[in-house]
Amino acid sequence: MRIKSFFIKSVNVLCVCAVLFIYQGYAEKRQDKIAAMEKKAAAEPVKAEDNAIQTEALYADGTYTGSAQGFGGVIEVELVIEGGVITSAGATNADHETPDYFKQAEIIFEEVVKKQSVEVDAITGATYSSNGIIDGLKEALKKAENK
Amino acid sequence: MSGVAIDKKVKAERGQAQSARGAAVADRKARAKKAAILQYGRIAVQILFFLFAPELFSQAFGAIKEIFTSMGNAAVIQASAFVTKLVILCFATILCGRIFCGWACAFGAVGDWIFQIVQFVLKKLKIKPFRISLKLVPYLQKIKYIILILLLLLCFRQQNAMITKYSPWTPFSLWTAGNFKTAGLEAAIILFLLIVVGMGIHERFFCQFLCPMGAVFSLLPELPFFALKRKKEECIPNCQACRMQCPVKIRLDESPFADGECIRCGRCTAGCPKKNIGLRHK
Repeated sequence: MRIKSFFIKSVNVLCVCAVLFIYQGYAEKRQDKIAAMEKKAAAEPVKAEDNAIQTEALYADGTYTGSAQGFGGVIEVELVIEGGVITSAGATNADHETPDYFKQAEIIFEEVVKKQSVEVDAITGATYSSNGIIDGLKEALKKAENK
Repeated sequence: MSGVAIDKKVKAERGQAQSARGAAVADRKARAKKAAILQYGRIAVQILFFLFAPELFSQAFGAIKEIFTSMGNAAVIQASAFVTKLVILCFATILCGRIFCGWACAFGAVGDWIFQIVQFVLKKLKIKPFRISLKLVPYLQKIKYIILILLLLLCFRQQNAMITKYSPWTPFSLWTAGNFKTAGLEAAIILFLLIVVGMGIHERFFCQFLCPMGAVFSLLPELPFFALKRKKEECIPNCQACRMQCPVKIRLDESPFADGECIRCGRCTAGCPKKNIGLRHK
């Protein structure tokens, strides 16, 4: 009985793993395709200029800080705007935040710079840390607007 | 036969009976001691994990949520720290069974403490504790698979925010992290309190009936090296000692229907009057 159940469960787990691997293969191919398309789009200079003009009109240059409640504590963040473009975003103090979740959510900083917007999605499994970072950055960006 | 001889015989018999009784008492004492060592050891391990890794269970399940969210989004599955933890816990389960549930999970540990406190209070107040029928338990234990499927579907449909809002794990995790700002989580807190009540009434209520992570562990194969085994042939007919001790109300190797429920608390090893259960038997 023990052996039979062990066998059935092992087969099931192997099937699940196989499905995941096959899926991963396809998803990676798809990601590469999208990346290639994005590169092509970015190569067109007109659009990029449009973006720059738009942001220039909105935000003043400078370094802005913000802070918001994360999972276990407050996260302090910093946003640098140069030439009307968000050039960098990062945390200045995340000592009070639960490290595991913060690490998981840190990718948001990159995304904000890439997207040139703080309207990004929270990271699954680290919703609270993500929202803490996003809210902090929103606060910082608001300061840039008011200037 | 002379009177003296009869006297001697009676004395000898009485002595034998006495020594047998003495051995039984000593045996019971030894078993109680073994049980106590095991249970205090378990509580100590649980406290350590509660203090230093209270998020393990939700992070491991977070990894599963991540995987299904990515799949629903046709995105690449990221090898995050949570996925690593999930894989480690799965390997531990394959090697030693649901030892994580019994010894390391913060949610289960809190459930154990609540149950002990409630049962202690009921005993002091001389109130007879309510028991869920043993016949019903194996069926209730299947609810967790339904919950698992529902959660995975929600993740696949990108409804993570909804899970976070209603999951009883959310307030628990926030509180253990020292964050008491739980505005907007009223529904989750009510669910959590209901689970607390359940945990007080029936030992490991959440773990065996509702836990989606437990459901995943139950579906994993368990290698026999560190599995508890029972010498069925030597059992006293209709003896239920191990089942009565067991938090998930199983008799080992009895029915494949309850396969994967054992959380390796080890209480049955000390609770068996014939010492039929152990790692090395069979």
